[in-house]
Formats: sequence, C-alpha cells, structure tokens
Amino acid sequence: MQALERILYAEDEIDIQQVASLALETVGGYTLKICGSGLVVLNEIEAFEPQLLLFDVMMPDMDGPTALEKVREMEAYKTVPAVFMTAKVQPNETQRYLDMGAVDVIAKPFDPMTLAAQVQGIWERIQS
Amino acid sequence: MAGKVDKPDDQKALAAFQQALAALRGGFAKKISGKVEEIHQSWERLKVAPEDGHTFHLLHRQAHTLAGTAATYGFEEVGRLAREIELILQAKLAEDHFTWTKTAVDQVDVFLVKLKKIARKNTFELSSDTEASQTADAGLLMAKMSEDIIYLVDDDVDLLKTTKAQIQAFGYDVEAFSDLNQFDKAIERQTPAVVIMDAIFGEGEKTGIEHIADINATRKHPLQSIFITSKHDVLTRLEAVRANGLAFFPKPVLVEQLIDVLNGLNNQGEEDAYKVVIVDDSEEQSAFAALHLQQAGMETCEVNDPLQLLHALADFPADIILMDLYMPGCDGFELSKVIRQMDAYVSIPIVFLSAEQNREKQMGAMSMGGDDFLAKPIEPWHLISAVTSRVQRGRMIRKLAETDGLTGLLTHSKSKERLTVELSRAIRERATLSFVMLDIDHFKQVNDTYGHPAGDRVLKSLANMLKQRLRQYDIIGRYGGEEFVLVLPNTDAEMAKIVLDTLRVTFSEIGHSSDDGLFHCTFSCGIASYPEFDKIMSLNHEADQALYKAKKNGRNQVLIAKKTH
Repeated sequence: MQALERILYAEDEIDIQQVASLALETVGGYTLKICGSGLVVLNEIEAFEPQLLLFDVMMPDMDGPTALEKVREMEAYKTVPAVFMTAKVQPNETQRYLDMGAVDVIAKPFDPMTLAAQVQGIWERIQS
Repeated sequence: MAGKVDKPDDQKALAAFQQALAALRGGFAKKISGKVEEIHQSWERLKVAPEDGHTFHLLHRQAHTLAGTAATYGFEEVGRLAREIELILQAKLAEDHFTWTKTAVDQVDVFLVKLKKIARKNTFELSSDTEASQTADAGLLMAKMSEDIIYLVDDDVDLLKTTKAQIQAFGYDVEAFSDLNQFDKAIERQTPAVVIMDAIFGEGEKTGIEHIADINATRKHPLQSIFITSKHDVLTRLEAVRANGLAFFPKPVLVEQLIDVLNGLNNQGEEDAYKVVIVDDSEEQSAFAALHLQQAGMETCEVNDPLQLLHALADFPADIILMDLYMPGCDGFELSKVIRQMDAYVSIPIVFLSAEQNREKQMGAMSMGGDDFLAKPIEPWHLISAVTSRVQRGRMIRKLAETDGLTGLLTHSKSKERLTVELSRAIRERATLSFVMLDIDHFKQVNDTYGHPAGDRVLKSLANMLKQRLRQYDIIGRYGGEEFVLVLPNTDAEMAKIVLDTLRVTFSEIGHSSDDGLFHCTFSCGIASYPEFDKIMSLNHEADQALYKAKKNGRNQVLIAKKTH
C-alpha cells in the first residue's frame, strides 16, 4: 500500500488552518500545502502533486465543489481522491458530495486530536 | 502515524501536541470578542437596510465561520450560539431574505446578547461531550436564552406597578401585564425566566393557574411560575403545584420572598470554574494534567518550581492543590507542611500525585498535611472525578464557614482576607480599588418598631440588592449587625460614589413589609480608595471615618475619605 504523505488542504479561515495543520502535520506527520481558496488550489496543485485533496466546502472566491470540478478538468488529477470538510450535514447532502466525486466527507467541527486518524482511515479504506 | 498518540508510551508527544493546541486555543479565545463584535455590527447594518444583500451574505459568513472555528477549539457555547444565528439566516436565504418578522429579529438579538455576554465574561463552557451539546434541543436552548426577563401578571394595575418597581430595584428585567392576551403574545415572542402570576385573575374567568396550566400543556418545557393569591386553601395550592408552580405566596406578597426564589433560580449552575494548582517539576506532566482538567471546564495554574508555590497561591484562589511527591529543591512532604502552617491556606485540600507504591510512604505524606494520594499514571477521567468530588466538598465546607448565615455574604474575617488579596493585586497591577463601609440608618429603630423578623428581612433585601446589582467580581461582606463592606476592584472613589449613590436611592425606594404595612430604610456609606490610601489599616480606618461623618451629616448619603496633607 502506498503511504499517504502529501495533502493539499483548502480552507479560508486562518484559525481553522492553524489547528488543522497542527493536527495533520504534528500528529499525522503529513506534508501539508495550505490554500486559502479554490483559486489558490488551481495555482498550487501542479507544483505540489498531492496524493489527497482536503477541501472546505464554503470558501469565498471559489468554493470547494467548484474547485474540485476545475481540478477534475486537469488530466493529471482526474482521479486524485478528494475529501470535503463541512459543517454537520444531512445524509442526503453527504450523498450529494459523494456524487460530486468526493471519497468521503469530514464533519466540522472536527476533533484536532483525531483528525489525522480520520484522514488516515479514509486513505487506508480507498487504498484497499 | 496518526494512531500513535493514543498509546501511553507516547505521552510526551501528546503533551507537546496538547500544549501547542492549548496555545492556539488561548490565542483564539482572545479573538472571540472581536469576532462577535463584527457580527453585531453587520447585524445592526442589516437591521437598518434589510435589502442589502452584501451585508446579508457577510453576516452569514461571519456567523458560519465563528460557529465552525469556536466549536473546533472547544468553545461549544459560542459555537452553538453562532450556529443558531447562521441557521436563522440560512432559513431566510431559502425563502425571501428581505423581509424580517419581529420574531426572527428578536431571535437573532437574543442570541447576540447571549454571545456578547459569554465573550465579555470570558467564561467559556468547555464541554468535552461534543455530541451531546450539538444535539441539545432547541427548546431548552431558547428557554435558557432569555433567563433575564420576568413576566409579572396581575389584573390589579396599581399592585402591578408597585411590585414591578420593587423587583426591578433588585436588578431584574420585568415586563408587566394586566391582560392575559398580551401576556400570551409575549410568551410566544420570548420565554421568560419566571412568570409571576396572580392565581385568581379577573372575575369568573378561568384562573391564572389554569391559564398557566393550559400554556404548559402546549409547551415542551413548562414555564417557571410563581403564583400569588389572596386565596390560599389547599385546593388552590394543589392546582398551583400541578401547573408546575415553583412557589406560592399569599397576598400581600413580600417582595423579599419573591427575590429569594428568583435569586435561587438565578444562581443555579453559575458556579465558578474549579481552580486547580498543579505542582510538578515536569512541565509535560503538569501540562498533561492541566489540559484534561481544563477540558472538564476547570481553571488551572501550573507550578513547575515548587519554591514558587506560595507566590502562585497568593494570586490564584486555589480550590485544590495537586502535588508531585518527589521534586528537586523541595519535596511534596515539606511543601505541604509549609502550606499547612499558613492560616490562609489551611483548608485547601492537597492531593499527592505520585508513582510512589510504598503504602507507608503514602501514609507518611498524608500525616504531613496531605489529604489524599493518587497513584500515577492516572487516567484523565479518574483525575477529573477525584478533583471534582474534593473541590465540591471543600467548597461546601468553606461556604458554611465563610458566609454569614442570614445574608449569604462573606463574614468579617473573610471580607478582610479578600480585601488583602485585592489590594495587593491593585498595587501590583497599578489599578484602582475602592473599599466601602456601609451601614443601614437607624437600624435599631427598625428592630424596635417592626420586630426582628422585619429587621432581618431588611438585611436580606440589602444583601440581595447588592449581589444582584454589583459586578460578579466585587466583594460583598457583612461585618456584623447592620454594617456591610464592599471591595470594588478597578474602581476609583468617584466611580464608587456614583455606583453607591444609585444603590442608595434604589434601596430607599424599596418598601419593606411589616405587620403595620410597608416601611422604608436608607443607608450611609464611607469610601476609601487606593491609591489615595495604600494600607489595609488606613483603608479601613478612613472608610470608617467617612461613614461616621456621613452619619453625622444627617445620614442617607455617601462620602469619600480625602487624604489630608
């Protein structure tokens, strides 16, 4: 199984960025590229070559779903797994995100203690 | 990898992570006030211009962001309130967001007021039980929201007016209704903390009790009601109990009794966070314990150099001390002996935390003044429950010893002790402080004329009014008899005089009940402030002198002690 190392993380709110980077870098040991909006994602993605996309749904300029749509238009990233993060959602909403091509949805607020384990769990599931 | 942190052998990494998290959290806590203020400003703009789509979306975003971030950092209550606002906006977005009903506006207002209160107080509920708080039902939340308003219902308009004024004097918001229809509309708009209802309303109509019972039948959470009535047979009382009545008072109602019930309700769940001092030479160990206790809503103070403990205790009013047994420089045995030699700290429970397995040594530690022994490593839940039970008991015992039985205010010696602490804090922080001596005028005559029970009610009224009207951190004590003292931190003499004059006027307007009808009382005050006076002795003496002068000048007045050169 391929180990997960590089995660491209899109989130506009700096307070959330900080706690997520602590959770994913310090606890999880992943390499994180943080993007403040969907537009930044499109600029950064090719240089970073992420193995996993972690997108907040609600962002200014370009929201998570739109960013994913644009990413999917790029030949190299047609299949890179994407996970959405969003405030507590209804089951049918989760389905909507899955239909957009996400492999999973992480509910916000997330627990900083277990976020890395959650991401790792998703990674292991889609690898098997 | 991710799973590692759960293993105990990686406690160091965990402690480091938690420390970093706590630092981020502290940084975020400081920003909450500003974020709430931003939301408030957007909301006020939207209220003026409801059709402004830009402001609407800005507000929606701000509420959404605060809801998410606050919850992530464990500020559950802030997160929940922000979420409520976001949900209201979301609902508007789904329909037509340009029209706002009064109800919706009120709802947002109420959530905002609550948010501001929490942000200001800086007391955040840290619930570790995320799931439970997220599913907290909205009905209960709304009931909690408006805990500040009291609905008063009586068809006797004169009585309504006087009772309203009397309750307001104690610092409560009161809305009065002489008409049941208006009352019903108000209930739909906002749930009051308490309804005070005339049990027999009008003539031949259904009674006030029945009316409340009918309303409660349609509600998830019954209204908290107090019934007042001129008819107090058993059947009426029974009816009141069935309508979820909290209390039942015959007319003419003693406002003091009402206030006692209201204060009792108001003080529920408002207990200060438990304050825990952790003495451990290992920063990681103390940080680990601190984080878990903080997550349980406690305040902690970590002391890593045992010799600094006394210093820390002077600033941090500890409920309990958790102490490592073996530390360099000074071990737990010696340190607890030192603490026990100081009168001020003699009642603080000391619990040793140590890997010491030897039962004899454990017992030895207790004979030195420790109260209990917890073996390391300790599970977080065990630590929390051990601390909780000891603090609860300790606080109860302390309260009995430190408060005056009649008024619930601090005793003479405890007031003096608090003055000492506050004065040294003021000196250190270069802040101001006012010390007030307050004495009820002609109190002996009250006792002689109206009897001691009436006199006691006056004392209780004054105590209740002071508790209700002063700030939470102001210190209120009863020196004995009809003499009270106040310690007002961050307050200079002029400000103290303004506050006390307002209270003086309010108090003089309260009607005290006696067998011969209502009577009124006044009080006089002397104020001495820091930095004009910088010793306990001089503050006491000067305030006393100013009080003496106020009495001599004709009473019912507030005088400031001036420094004579």
